[in-house]
Amino acid sequence: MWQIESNRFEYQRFKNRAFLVKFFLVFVFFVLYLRLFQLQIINKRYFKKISKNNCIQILFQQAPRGAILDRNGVVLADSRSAFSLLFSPFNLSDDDITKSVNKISDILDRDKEYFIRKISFQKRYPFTYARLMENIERKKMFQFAEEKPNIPGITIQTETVRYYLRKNFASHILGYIGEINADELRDRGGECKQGNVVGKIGIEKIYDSELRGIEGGKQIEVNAVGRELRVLREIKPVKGHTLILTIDKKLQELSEDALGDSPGVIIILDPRNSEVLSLVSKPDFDSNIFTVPLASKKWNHFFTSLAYPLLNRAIQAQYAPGSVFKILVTLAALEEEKINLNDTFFCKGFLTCGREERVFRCWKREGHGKQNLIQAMANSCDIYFYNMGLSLGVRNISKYAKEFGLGEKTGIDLPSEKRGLVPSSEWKRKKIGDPWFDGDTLNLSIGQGYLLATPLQIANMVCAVVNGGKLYRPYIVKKIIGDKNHLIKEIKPYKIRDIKISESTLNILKKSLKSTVEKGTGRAAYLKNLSIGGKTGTAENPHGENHAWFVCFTPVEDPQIVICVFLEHGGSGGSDAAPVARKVLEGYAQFLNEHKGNEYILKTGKEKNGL
Amino acid sequence: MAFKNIARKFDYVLFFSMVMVIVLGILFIFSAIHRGKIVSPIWTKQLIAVGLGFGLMIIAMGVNYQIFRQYGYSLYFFSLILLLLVLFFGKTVRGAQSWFSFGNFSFQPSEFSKIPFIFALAIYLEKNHRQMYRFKSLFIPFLIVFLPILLILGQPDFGSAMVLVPIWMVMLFIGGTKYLYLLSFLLYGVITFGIPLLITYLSFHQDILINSVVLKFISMATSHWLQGIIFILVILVILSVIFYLLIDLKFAINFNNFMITSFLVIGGCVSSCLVQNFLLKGYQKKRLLAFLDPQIDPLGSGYHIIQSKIAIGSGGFLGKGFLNGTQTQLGFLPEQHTDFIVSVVAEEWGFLGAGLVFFLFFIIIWRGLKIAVEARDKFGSFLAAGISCMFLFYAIINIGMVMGIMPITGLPLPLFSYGGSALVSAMVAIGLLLNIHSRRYTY
Repeated sequence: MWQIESNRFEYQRFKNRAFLVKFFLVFVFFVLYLRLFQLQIINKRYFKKISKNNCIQILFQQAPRGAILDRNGVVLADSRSAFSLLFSPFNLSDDDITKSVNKISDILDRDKEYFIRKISFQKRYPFTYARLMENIERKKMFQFAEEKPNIPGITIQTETVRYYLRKNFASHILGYIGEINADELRDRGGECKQGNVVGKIGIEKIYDSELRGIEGGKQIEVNAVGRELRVLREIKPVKGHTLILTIDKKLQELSEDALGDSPGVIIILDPRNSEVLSLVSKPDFDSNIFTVPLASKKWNHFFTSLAYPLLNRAIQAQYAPGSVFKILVTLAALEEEKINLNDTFFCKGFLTCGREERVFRCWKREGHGKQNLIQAMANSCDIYFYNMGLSLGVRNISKYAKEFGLGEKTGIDLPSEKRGLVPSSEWKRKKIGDPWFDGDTLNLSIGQGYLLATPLQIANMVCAVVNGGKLYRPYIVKKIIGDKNHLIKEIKPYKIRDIKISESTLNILKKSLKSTVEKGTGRAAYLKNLSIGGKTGTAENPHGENHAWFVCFTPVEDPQIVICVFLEHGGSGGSDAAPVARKVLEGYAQFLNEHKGNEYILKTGKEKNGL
Repeated sequence: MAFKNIARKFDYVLFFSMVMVIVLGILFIFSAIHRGKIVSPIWTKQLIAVGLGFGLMIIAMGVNYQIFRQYGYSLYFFSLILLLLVLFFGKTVRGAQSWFSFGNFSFQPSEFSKIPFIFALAIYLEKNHRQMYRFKSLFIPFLIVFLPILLILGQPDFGSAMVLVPIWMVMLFIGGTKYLYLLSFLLYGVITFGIPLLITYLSFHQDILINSVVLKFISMATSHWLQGIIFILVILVILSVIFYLLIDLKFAINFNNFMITSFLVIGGCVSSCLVQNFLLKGYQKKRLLAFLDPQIDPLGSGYHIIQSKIAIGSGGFLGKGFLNGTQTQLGFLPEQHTDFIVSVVAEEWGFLGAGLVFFLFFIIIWRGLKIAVEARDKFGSFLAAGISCMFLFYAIINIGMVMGIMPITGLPLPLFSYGGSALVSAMVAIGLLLNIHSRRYTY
């Protein structure tokens, strides 16, 4: 009884409502008892029978992963059937399990500990099966089938396994798959579970949800010794979606051959929408290795090798772009009207700068003499660009660099992309603690110093320059296709921003880049029947030999492809990178001939789009 | 207060019911986890939690509960801060980031946030008891329940978040809110969760869907937020047309009621769109529905339900005997020591054992409501009523789930399931009930 407030009416209302709650309580418990009575007394016999004779187990079946095709429908990766070895510890004595493990490890030639670990995990969930080994060889499978009566608990299941049609082909794009680890399990709880296979890098990782399909399985009634009596329910696994890439298999092959075994990158983009036509990073790896069981020794090689074969150098490594960056500096100077087509500087091989009269050299010690803009670009004369950079100032250069996507992720649909670095005076004061010197500006204007970019950023920057200022987001997956060729999603080009470039600037740039290939440092990439514009770059770096860069596009008048060649510690742009680009260009010219001068990319892209 | 005094006014029935539940719980947790002769370390952990629980219960019983009137809101905010921190520094267990872990010791703040939540609501209801019939008095109580729900959903722990709603509603009901508001809110909840679940259910029974135009339309409308917005706009237009028609025809219509109805329909649609697209993932919807038809998720939750029913049903009237339950001992049910512990009792001790456990819970809740009615002031009444409701809804949801008549939400049975945090907080709650009871005559 409420003592302080003696409002009868309120207390009465409270009491009434509390009474209703009590009524609800009685009702609820009545229902609960009723249900208990139904289960335990009325249906007792039915449930007793089930529990006495039979037990229900669950056998999961992994779904086949979706196929990955190139832009013309050529299969790059798919699933094929294979055999998996499963084990159910249900109702087995410890002796039986030990016996089985011994047999299994004999046949598969592998340490017992591995199987013991897997089985002891499964003991907590005896109604499902431990997945001992996937993708076992045919010969071993027959061996198991013969010995099955002597190895209690095993089941052989036909499943599918991922395979990549060619070794070491587009491996950084495709990526590889493997068993889910603890971190991934936490991030994707609900969608995946222990023992599932997920994409680890590349588009296998980014599009894992699309590719993985829907796991199926069976509810199996087993008797007391674990023998299968009948299948109660079955859910068929559903194959994952098919991905169609922007990659052109022929161009990809061409680039892989052109690069050979030297560490580096070749990227081919379509400048009209930044579709990635080919992306090669060497050294690479064979994605198939990771689906073969027991190959962990081989895997270790990939994870520990100092050549970092798993590193996708196109997006995960950052380098100084060197003279390739001069394209952007020239564009900035023309747009800001700091320079005219006919302005000349005299190159005597060096230039002094600052109070301490520090000497900054041109790459050509004896000097280029009098140079105008076109000549300076063709000869990559550093002195000319030092002057240009000084009149622009660091603020302008970094403004333009950022406009063209340097210093930010391009947003390509591949994992772990690096963002690069565009320095500014604020950045230097904050991170290094020193003020910005004119000498820093000089270094920046020839693409050295603090500036860092990924090869993809450079390729995409060139795209945005040659297409007249449209910066697109590069992408690799073009279409996602579901069951019965049903189009689920088509990824359209995404324009990040428009950058204003005047017609005359663009013309001057293209002209100077064309003359670079015709008579300048990029001569090695010259082909008679193609109109090519390009720029070499040789980036000094503290880790060793110079990095060699070469970017080019063709045809100059209406660019259809942009090629970016990068050789890690590969020497000089003109004599090392440009010849590699020439091989790609030669092949490309041949494709054009085969298509009788029609536009190669557009035509092939449309041929089999119906799929 | 002298010890004698307390002893005289002590609610022995409630206390001994609790002790019996705990003892039975420890016995059957042992049965659920023991494999072979080794005593599992998690069983000893549970024993330690019981000891800790008794300590805290004595404190909760000893202090005058009036101090919670002073510190209730502070405790509530403290619990919110803990819930916020766990989202950043918590450990993830089974997909939910809900644990604070310090070496060997770890606890779940969501379990401890329930009592401060009841404090806060009880304080508010006491102060505003006379105004509770007003609509605007619902605003603060709404915030009180909304914040913890939001934070617990962030972990995400759907079950622990949603169980606060019925507790909240019954406390408001006892506190004197109008029936109309509560019914509207109930309707709102039914629309919000009903539509997405209906759609999921129908997607497994396509034949019904194909034949019905209305259902097809609703399922289209909720499948994407953009279509949802169009759908809501259509309803908005229809409602306003009806409203103006009614005014034109001189029908007397209460503007308030009209607003409430429109809000219900439109708000319900908005939130059902949100639930469909963002809050509930496909597998969660399947889990919630599997009790209606285990076929929906035969390899996951549907399997659990079937196994749980087999375990319970095969127990019969007397059960198979302690440690002799075949289903239990062969480990066919995962999580049997936590969420599905009732199935162990039902299998091994049969209808008598499970019936005893139900009866003990009934007694605990019944005594709790009795204490609420007899309390010396409003605060004590609302606090006791809230605690009783907490036990009531946990019992309904958990026991219903185990017997296949409630969705699988992963809620434990308080005092009975394995889990230290839940046990300690439930014992503190019982301590508070005993506290309110023992002080019912003091002036």
